Amino acid sequence: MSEREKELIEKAKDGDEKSFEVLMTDNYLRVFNLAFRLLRNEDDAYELTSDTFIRAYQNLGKFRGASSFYTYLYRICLNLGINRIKREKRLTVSIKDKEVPGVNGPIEIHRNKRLGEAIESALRHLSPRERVVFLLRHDEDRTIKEIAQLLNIKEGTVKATYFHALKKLQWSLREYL
Amino acid sequence: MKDCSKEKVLFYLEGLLSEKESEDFFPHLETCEECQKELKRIQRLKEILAKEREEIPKPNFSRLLSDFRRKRMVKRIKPEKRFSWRLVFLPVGALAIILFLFLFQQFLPVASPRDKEIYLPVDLSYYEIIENIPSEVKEELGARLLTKSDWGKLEEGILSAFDYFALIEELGEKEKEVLIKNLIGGDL
Repeated sequence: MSEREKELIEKAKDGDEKSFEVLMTDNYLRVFNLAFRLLRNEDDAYELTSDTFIRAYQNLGKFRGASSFYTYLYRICLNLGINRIKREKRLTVSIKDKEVPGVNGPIEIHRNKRLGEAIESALRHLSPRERVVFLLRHDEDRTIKEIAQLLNIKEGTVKATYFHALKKLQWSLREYL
Repeated sequence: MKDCSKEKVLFYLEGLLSEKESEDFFPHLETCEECQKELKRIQRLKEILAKEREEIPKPNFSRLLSDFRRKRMVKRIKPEKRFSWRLVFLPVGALAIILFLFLFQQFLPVASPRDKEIYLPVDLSYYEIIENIPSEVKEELGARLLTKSDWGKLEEGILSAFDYFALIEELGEKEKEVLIKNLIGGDL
């Protein structure tokens, strides 16, 4: 953690709201990225991001500085996101039309749209834990050990969960493979 | 075949097998059609997922900040007071100092009338003293006051204030006033 970050945190702990907002400026992009990957919906991601900062602000007194401030935010966002997924058990589809390079025909665009929808649907059918493990491994390239620490589960459980997630996706997307 | 395992294929591809496990599995993988098919399916799946990865929209910080401020105000969120040893030690320390001063005062030597030496006029005789003690006091004090040693002290004209006042303590306030006035011809 840099000296600047430490100083901002200490001031924020003493009630300096402006210092906390500077910390938000430094970290909002990465937190939002994680929130969006978890919930796959822009509005939900905004809400999760602001909830993350609210929770971080509220519990700032407990932050001892053993990790970076972003790691602290990351854990909060992940936990809140998992709770939300469990609560809602849904994945809001957010599909944008994409042009596949070199393919301009309407059939290909339609197929890609279908594929996008199929992927979203397949991800929706994963359990909350499978979805988070898959996201952390596939999107964020986290090691098994890191995922185990973040989710407070055993490494063997992470591996088994990841395997099951991929098998489910494989089954859901079999016509495209 | 006993080495066939879809899990092992995935872990091999992901680099999750140990060095020994990889070395043991590789010869099987090279020769097993099923495992090779599985390997290709997993690779294809990962390609599709990577290619179709949702683009993350760029967030609007103003929107986030106003969301945050609104929630903070509505829910009246403040940082939890952080624990500080200073918060414990300061009041405890202050209390300890006050307690110390209070107790210390109790043990401070107070100039007590008991320590004062009171000189009785040397020319007072037994009888004059006796005469001046109110009769009701005499009765109360009885023989204790009128022991020889007490009279001896009185005769010398010097009586330790402590002894004197120890005797006086036996009297009521009014009686004390009268006795003292009578004995020394005025107030103490």
